[in-house]
Amino acid sequence: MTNTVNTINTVNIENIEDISTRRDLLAVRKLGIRFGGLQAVTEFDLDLVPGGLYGIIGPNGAGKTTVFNMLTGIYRPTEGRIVFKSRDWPEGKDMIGEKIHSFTAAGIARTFQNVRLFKNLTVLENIEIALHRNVRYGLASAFFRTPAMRRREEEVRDEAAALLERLGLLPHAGKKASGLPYGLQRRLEIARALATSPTLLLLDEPAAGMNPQEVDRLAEDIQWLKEEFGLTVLLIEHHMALVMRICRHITVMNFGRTIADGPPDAIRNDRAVIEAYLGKGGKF
Amino acid sequence: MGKIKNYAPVFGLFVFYLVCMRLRQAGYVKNYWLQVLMFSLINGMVTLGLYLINGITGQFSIGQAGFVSVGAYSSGVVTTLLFNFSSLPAYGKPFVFLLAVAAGGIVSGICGYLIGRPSLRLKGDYLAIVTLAFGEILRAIIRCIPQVGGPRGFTSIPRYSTLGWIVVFFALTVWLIRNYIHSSFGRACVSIREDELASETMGIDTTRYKVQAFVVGATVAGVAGALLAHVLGFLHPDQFNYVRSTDFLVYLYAGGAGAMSGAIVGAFILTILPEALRFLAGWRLVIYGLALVLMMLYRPTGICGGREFPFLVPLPRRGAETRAALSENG
Repeated sequence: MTNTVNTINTVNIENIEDISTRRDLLAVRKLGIRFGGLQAVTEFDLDLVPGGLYGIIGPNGAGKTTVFNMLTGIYRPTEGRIVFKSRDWPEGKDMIGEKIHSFTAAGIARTFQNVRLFKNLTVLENIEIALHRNVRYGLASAFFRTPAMRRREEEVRDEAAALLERLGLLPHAGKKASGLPYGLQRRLEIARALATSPTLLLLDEPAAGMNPQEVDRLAEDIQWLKEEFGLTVLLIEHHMALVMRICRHITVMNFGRTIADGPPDAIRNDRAVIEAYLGKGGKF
Repeated sequence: MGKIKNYAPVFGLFVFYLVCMRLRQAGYVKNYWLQVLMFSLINGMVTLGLYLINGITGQFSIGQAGFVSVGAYSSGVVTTLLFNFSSLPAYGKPFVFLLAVAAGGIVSGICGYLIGRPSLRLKGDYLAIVTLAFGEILRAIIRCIPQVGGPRGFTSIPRYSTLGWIVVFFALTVWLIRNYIHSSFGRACVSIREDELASETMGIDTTRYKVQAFVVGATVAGVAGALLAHVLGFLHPDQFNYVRSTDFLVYLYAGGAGAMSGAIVGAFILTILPEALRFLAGWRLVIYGLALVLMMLYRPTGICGGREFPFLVPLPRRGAETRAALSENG
């Protein structure tokens, strides 16, 4: 079997000990997952520097969402390592095998390709649920509805309202999530992810189903979010123009393998990428 | 003003109790109907426990009668085998009774943890299968314990539960469960029902809260069972068979699994209805069945249809969303 990995910036396959001395937020090494006889992702590497905006692109079925699912604990990788550096996670500890909620606690938040809001609950409640991790009152206080618990509940509600306000969703606070227009549902899902106070935000096809004007707006929004909340953003997108415009580093996947990675300009002219997207002899 | 309104339901329940006792003294209400009322309250408690598991957390437990029997038998053990209730001085009886009720709740809660912990880690129908089996195994076990009467039934339990005791425990259950639902823990449970994966991705340890809700539901059923044991004075393992578990499910879904009021109203109406129709002899079961079928056809969301009694929503929460929106905008 020939190795088809064609990297532009040669990825340093270094020891995990070396990774922890670097200032990367997330270092993924040789990540792979096998579902029965199907090797869905092979030798996936990723280095995210804090404050960066990264993209993963690739044709349908390339394994992009599978990578996201491994980075959030939904799938357990069969090979490789994930090292995440954050104040909420022990330095250098491998995340593989941890539960989904531990990934969230460590500071990784995500949105879903097909929006997964708590549809029957209000916009405000959607955010309050995501704030659960820092409620700071016990079961007994909840049962007896102590004054301290009620104060904390008010704070949680204000916190949720403040977050909604920053994202321009406050006027919809009392509405059922399912009653929002699609664009606002996507925005609410991002707000809900932010409520878990992440350091790394994973966006799974944020521009899906949007028209060109909305995509333009989204591009600005993502950059604004990154600055405003001090995030590192990794997004999966089909929308080439969006990724090329806002990401500083792009990983291209096809058939579960990384076929190229590097800055947008390099990706645009990469032979393997053009072949994957347009076939031999194609041109962007 | 708000303060007085807060206590209106408690006050109302107290007045209701006084009226009942007064009517009984005057001879308008027979002891038989008071007992039906006690059963309604007890069934209401059990159904509220089930509501927390099935309605709020979205799991499917079908063995609630098993937990009632655990509570009933373990409280019976306290009042008959550990203490000789009838020979206790009058001032000691309430304490031993409360101890028995607590024992019923605790033992039932422990059983809930032991069967919930392994089966709730999995998604899907495992809980239904395990709870069903739990109820049946329990019956078989009780038959093998001669100390609690085995297959002949557990006799000579003191009939110490009065309407007063039951009203107090019922009110307490309603209040505690309401508070739980309207806390962050309750929201976590609801989020599991709505979308378990999204809930976990929001940092919620879903297994933990599923088990928590299940244990609370089992504990409530155990307390209700303890009260029941001391109303009946006699327990038999077959009282708590699979059919009895189905009754509680019917109460919940007929009343409306979308709200606490549904659990309470369902348990009340469907406990009282068969008794009220008793003069029709065999036909009452036909009517009971017909009523259920018609209701499922014309009101599939249950009698209450997911609407909550206003006092079952804590004050700061009422209209909280709009208030938050207004205060931030204004």
